[in-house]
Amino acid sequence: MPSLFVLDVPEFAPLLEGAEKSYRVSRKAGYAAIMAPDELVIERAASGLGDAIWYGALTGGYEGRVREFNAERLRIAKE
Amino acid sequence: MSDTIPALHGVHHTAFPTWKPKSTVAFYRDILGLKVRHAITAKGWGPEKHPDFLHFFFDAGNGSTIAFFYYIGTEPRPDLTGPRGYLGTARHTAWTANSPEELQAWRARLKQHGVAVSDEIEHETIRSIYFRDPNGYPLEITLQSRPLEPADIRDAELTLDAMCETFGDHESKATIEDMWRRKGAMVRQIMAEAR
Repeated sequence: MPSLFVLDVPEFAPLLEGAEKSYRVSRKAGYAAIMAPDELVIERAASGLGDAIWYGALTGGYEGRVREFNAERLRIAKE
Repeated sequence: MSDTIPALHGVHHTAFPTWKPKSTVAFYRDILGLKVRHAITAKGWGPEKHPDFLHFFFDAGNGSTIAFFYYIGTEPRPDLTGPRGYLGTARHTAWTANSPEELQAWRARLKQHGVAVSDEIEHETIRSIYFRDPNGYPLEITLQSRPLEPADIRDAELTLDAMCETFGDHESKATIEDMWRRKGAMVRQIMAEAR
């Protein structure tokens, strides 16, 4: 299951709020895990993140394969 | 031998060579308004062919200083002072601003004195402005936007563990994706172990 781990801090709140509309988000131990059954897609425009946070959005790590990560979109697919 | 690790107490000084001593003084003392703290002059001190030099210090606040060496009669080394690109900006000096107003005031003052200064750049936990001194050295003034919490610090420690395991000392052909996946496994475990 493609998953993105994000530190549960104010800087990532807009990303997590956006993700919760489409995916299951589990919060524990200071982290939030965004889990998609098939493919995890996060649109930059919807996340409202500035450069520094957007380009560092994978810092918490992930499971799956990153198929796309650019100025507009992050897409993580299954292994 | 004692196992006690001694403590450090902040920066006393960092030092850089300059071939523009007059412009350096005008910038640090007059534009940035830093007080001159100390100045050393020496002739023939050190190894053979060691030039005559001056070493001077400006007060950068909280007991720290920024210092310069001027080696009289030597050839300027542009490779040392103003290399452009990411390698040239990696080694830089960042000073602390105490409030958003202070950061704005610094930006306004630099602009007023004709210094090319960036917009305020928002990072994860800091907000910064960037500019260069007359030598070409990259400088930054930064404001801590929020205090770092234990979770931020643990996350940074995990990232460094993932980095060291993934890349070692640059001998590996690993990618940043390899490191992120390793980090993901670490975080997955931390979440699984949490109650």
